[in-house]
Amino acid sequence: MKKNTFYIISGLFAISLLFLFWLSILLSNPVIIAVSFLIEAVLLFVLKRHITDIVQDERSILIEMKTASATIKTAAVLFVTVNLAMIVYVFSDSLGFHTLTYNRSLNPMLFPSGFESVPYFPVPPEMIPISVLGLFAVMQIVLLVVVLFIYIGFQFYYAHKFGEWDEDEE
Amino acid sequence: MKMKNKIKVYRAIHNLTQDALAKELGVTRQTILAIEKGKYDPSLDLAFKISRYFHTTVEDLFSYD
Repeated sequence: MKKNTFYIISGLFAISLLFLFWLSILLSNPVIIAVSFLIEAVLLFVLKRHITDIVQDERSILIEMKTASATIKTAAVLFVTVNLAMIVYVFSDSLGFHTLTYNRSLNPMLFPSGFESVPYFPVPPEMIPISVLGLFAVMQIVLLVVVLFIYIGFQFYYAHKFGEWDEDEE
Repeated sequence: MKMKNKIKVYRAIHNLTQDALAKELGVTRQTILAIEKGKYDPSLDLAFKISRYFHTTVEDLFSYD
């Protein structure tokens, strides 16, 4: 398989993942996106091994390894930092920061018949509002996008460091 | 400490382009270019392959600055 074919397939996979992500949200079914992402990741891995017109040598492998390592280290620090802050924010009521959390008597109900009407997630009153829990999802998306940019940034950095775009005078 | 090499000299002696040498060694032209410019230090395996290709020794081809 030619590498351009692989890139086209990767693009189609990305578009299909966006569609499946949207479908997952519409149907409130996380299994759809989780399973399809796993399947597409395995398929891409298998397809990549069948590319015939790409030369991969020790320098390009080193660039990939260093990029992956730097991205993982940065992402781990970023994820822990943001998630610790989010956890403290959500559970701040138990830590004594009452102003940041939902207060049933002061704030309007999110659901017309109260939190007890939510069948899949029984939230005890005056503890964790669902609106705050939603912040987790938004922050996870932001983190995933940031990690993607960090990966691209490190890829450029190491490719430049190991002379990927250098031109010879010959 | 930076490593320097004589690959460019040996290429000139053998009248070889970077691309031709890269194909002989199974690496990319950018790798040969990066080694010549000192931006990438080759593995021991590749260093031996290059020196054997030019019928010389690793010590002759590579040295510390």
